[in-house]
Amino acid sequence: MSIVHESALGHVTGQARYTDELPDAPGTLGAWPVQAPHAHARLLKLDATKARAAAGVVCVLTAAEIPGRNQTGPIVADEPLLPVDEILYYGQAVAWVLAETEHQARAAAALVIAEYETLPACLTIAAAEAADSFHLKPSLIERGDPTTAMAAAPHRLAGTLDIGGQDHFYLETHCSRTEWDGDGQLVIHSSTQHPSETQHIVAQVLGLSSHQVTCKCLRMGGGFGGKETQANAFAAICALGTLLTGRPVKLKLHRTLDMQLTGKRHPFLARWQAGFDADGKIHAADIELIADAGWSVDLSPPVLMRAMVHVDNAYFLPNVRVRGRMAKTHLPSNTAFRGFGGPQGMIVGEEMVAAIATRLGLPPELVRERNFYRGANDAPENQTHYGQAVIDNHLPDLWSQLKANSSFDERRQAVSAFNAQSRRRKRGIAITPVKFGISFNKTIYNQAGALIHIYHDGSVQLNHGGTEMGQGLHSKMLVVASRCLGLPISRFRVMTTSTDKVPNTSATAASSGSDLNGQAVADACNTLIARLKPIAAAALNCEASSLEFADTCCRVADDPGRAIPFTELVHRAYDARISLSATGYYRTPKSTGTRSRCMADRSITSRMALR
Amino acid sequence: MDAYSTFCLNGTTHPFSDRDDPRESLLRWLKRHRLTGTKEGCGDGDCGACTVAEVLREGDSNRLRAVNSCLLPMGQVLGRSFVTVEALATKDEVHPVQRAMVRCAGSQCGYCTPGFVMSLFVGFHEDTLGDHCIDGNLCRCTGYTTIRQAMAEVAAVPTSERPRALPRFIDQDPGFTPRSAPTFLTPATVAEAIANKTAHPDYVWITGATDTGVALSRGQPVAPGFIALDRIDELQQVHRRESSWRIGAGVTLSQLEDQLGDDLPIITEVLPWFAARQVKNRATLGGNIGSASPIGDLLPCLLALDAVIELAGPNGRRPVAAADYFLDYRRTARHNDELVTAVTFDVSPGRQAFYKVAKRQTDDISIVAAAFLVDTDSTGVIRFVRLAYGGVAAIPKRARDTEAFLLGRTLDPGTVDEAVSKLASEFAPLSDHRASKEYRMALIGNLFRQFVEAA
Ligand SMILES: Cc1cc2nc3c(=O)[nH]c(=O)nc-3n(C[C@H](O)[C@H](O)[C@H](O)COP(=O)(O)OP(=O)(O)OC[C@H]3O[C@@H](n4cnc5c(N)ncnc54)[C@H](O)[C@@H]3O)c2cc1C
Ligand code: FES
Ligand code: FES
Repeated sequence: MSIVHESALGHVTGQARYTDELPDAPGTLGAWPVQAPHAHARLLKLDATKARAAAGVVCVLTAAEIPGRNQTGPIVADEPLLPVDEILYYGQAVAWVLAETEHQARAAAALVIAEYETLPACLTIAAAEAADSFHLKPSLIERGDPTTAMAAAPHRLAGTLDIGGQDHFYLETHCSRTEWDGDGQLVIHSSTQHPSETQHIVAQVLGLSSHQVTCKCLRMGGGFGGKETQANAFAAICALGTLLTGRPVKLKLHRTLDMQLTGKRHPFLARWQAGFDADGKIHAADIELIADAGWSVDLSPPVLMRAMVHVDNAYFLPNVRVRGRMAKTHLPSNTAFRGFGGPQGMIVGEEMVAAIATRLGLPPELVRERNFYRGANDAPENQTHYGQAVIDNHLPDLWSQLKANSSFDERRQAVSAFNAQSRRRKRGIAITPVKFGISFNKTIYNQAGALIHIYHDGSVQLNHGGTEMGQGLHSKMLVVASRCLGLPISRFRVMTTSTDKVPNTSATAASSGSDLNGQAVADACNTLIARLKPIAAAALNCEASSLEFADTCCRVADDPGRAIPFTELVHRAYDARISLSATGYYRTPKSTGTRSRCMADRSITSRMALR
Repeated sequence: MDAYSTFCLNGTTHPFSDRDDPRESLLRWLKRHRLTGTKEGCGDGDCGACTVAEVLREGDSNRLRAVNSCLLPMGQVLGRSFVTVEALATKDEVHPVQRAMVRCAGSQCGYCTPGFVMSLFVGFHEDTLGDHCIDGNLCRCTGYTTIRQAMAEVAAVPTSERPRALPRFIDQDPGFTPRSAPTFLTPATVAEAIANKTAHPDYVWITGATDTGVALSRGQPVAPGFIALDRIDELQQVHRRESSWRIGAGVTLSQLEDQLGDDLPIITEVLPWFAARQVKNRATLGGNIGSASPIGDLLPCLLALDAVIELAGPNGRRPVAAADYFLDYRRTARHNDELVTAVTFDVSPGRQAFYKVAKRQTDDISIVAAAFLVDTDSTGVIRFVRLAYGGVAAIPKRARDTEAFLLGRTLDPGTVDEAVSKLASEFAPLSDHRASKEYRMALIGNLFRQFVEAA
């Protein structure tokens, strides 16, 4: 079933609202940061006296104002919301001014006096290496005996690869708004991929318990990983303002601020050495990856680990050592970004294979093919360096199919012929496999919840823990629920993702949003079906097990004429005092992962995406 | 109400009063008035999420053009008519481009979508659908395929079914004639503009606002006031007598595209790669000269054409040769109280070409731009040559030594090699985040080689 995006009509007519566009409650304050003009400095003095007295200013937020923990780090507690004494990247906000309008806040921010003592800054991976500036401990994955195999290999090659970063450029910049509801509950609307974490971090900063904070995400104008953790701090700033002033606060970053304040894709430096034979088959690989993590750890450990477990791309590396480190630089803290380190790892494997092909004068696709993972599930050459088998490995078949379908060999010849006669313009052709691990490396994140309410009139509210950022998750959840309950999509409404509906959710990330939440939705539907079937069975005078939900009714599967309309069934259930509300829950099976000599706990589901 | 002016939005007249700020962008005004369909993706004119349609009245008919509302100061909105995405659908049906976008899954997160819809809406009614119609719109989600499918779908609608005049978007009762805001003057003649400037020497000229609008959108004050030159008829004329041209400073780049035809490749080859549709609909030749940026794309063309820039000020008008106009980084021969009124030139015979190298093809700033004009006699001897570059010095600049060297020679491989090394000695490009100086240096020579080989 292919349906249009549930918000498509809203998108094209401009009626679909984003966080920034919710009606401002009266008295909503605007916010603007006071930014440090140094990449690394000691903060000597912060004087907001003049700013506090400026037109429209209601409050200036500094570290001193924080009642709870001045901490927003998602994995490691190394991210003060507002710096106490040290500036760690250019443009870092040392304070935020809240005023009646954003314009006034901005004007007043210029009046805050901050004094700094500049310190030497590390702005590149090379500089971090020279200064021995790293986060946490190095990671290592090893298999076989890379040292001996490298020494014994007929050929050896080494290289380095600089991999650049990338801004997410979600079209909608970060946006948060907070207010007290009528009864002392702090409500956050945030453009966040991870409402539960936003809720948790905000509670921590304010010194509240999670049950006092609700985080909602209506929809995002794109996320791409850039709103997996990075939304937390902005929500916390708004929430702090609401706590201190009692007033609603809204913050929508201008694009320049968004680019200055938020992390991007990790740049990587890779050094590799490969030992191989005359056929181009790899005997040994020794790879070092250094990720530019920026000023704080953020999600760098799992990003690095994902890069480390993707350096093989689709190739069997019998003897391999992968070392990984996180450079601590004075840059915004780099974060999740589509692929989450996977692309940075894969490109290193590809670089290696391409270099081997060039050295041996072989077509790259031939060297690729010769190194593929292959054989049965448990074949030695089908095992990854992180201890997981490539289950149902279709790559060799897929490869020959693709090569044939695309007439690859003929096209390769045509390209060569063109290049031989064209002096300035050259053409190229490549075919490249991709193996990509789906789901969170960290096992506990592979769980999800849903909450479904059926109302008297047969209409249904659908809640799940995932967030909508354009990937069509809500639409897919609608399809799941609609199929389970046999109802048309028009009977449903997907509710704003909210932590008071589905708690303790994971980030919508890791290519797992549909699988996890879809199963949770199905689980909730199945619970409801199990409650409704006996009622229908009684009404239709049949076995509950013979029933199915389809075409807006519950009917005998083998005798579709014997049916009770869904709405009538719901009425009867209500009258029989049967609950029409159910939660659903799902955890990914088989994702407790094996461990090799890898330093981190991680797992990868058995699914493999080849593209 | 102390309204002193009005403008028309989606067919309704809105007052504009002392309480409104003429420097505020139309986008921010829309947002404050809860018309939130129009989005801000960048505030810089780069993403097109803020695209709205301006309705131009041309006699009895109306024309539409897409513009970036983030760059457009309210002072330039007054007295004009605009359509936003909210107005496209009626109660009963959505607009054909909206329907096509839904059907083709042209939206994912939806944040870029209203901007695309507006660009397509204009393209649909103006019969200008095609990639250049959406060059100024960025989408981070779809990869564009589905949007282009939607475009193809509506492009198939016969033009006879695409009404041009859209009465419901037009101000039926324009109320009273718009007046200047106190800090945003809108003279109707050059003389009036000069008088305004004499009265307010610290006010600055603004025409298309595609450059100034970026600074305003970023909250920079720019100047205490503005004198808008976009309503002066004289500045909007293009005259041609045989090979002599006179192009008004207020002519937009889109108008240039329409009016130049194929006779001036050195300029028409620039235009597809100059910004994108929404910017070109407002950006002017005068503004490009006014910015005097070393990477202003039209400036090498003016140098290669040996154009004359006409200035007008309190002491009358004076011509300045383009070659003498650019003095140093963003410093020119124009006095503060003068405005550019027009550019004049005679097209010399010979082959013309323009090259722009940027990180992407459209809507990007040049790394290096080059405009070449070379004429040879029947034996291939060069009798006329001008080589002008942008992006390789503090000002747009001609390679005079190389020109002198080439004069009287033929473009044989040895001469070309020597010309290329001469070119290298004439410029000292800088490294910046767009490119290294070595790369720029390589381009200086290679673009010339490309020109020679294309002959
Ligand atoms: C997204 C985007 C892409 C762009 N791409 C390009 C590009 O590819 N190539 C390029 O060259 N430029 C580009 N620009 C810059 C800009 O669009 C051009 O320089 C344009 O020609 C400016 O014209 P305007 O009428 O909008 O100028 P305005 O913004 O109105 O004015 C620019 C400057 O010129 C002065 N000025 C305006 N008119 C006159 C006059 N008649 N006499 C004297 N001074 C005057 C103003 O005081 C101001 O200093 C781009 C801008 C944006 C926002
Ligand atoms: S907001 Fe991006 S072009 Fe206007
Ligand atoms: S649909 Fe998300 S940016 Fe275009």
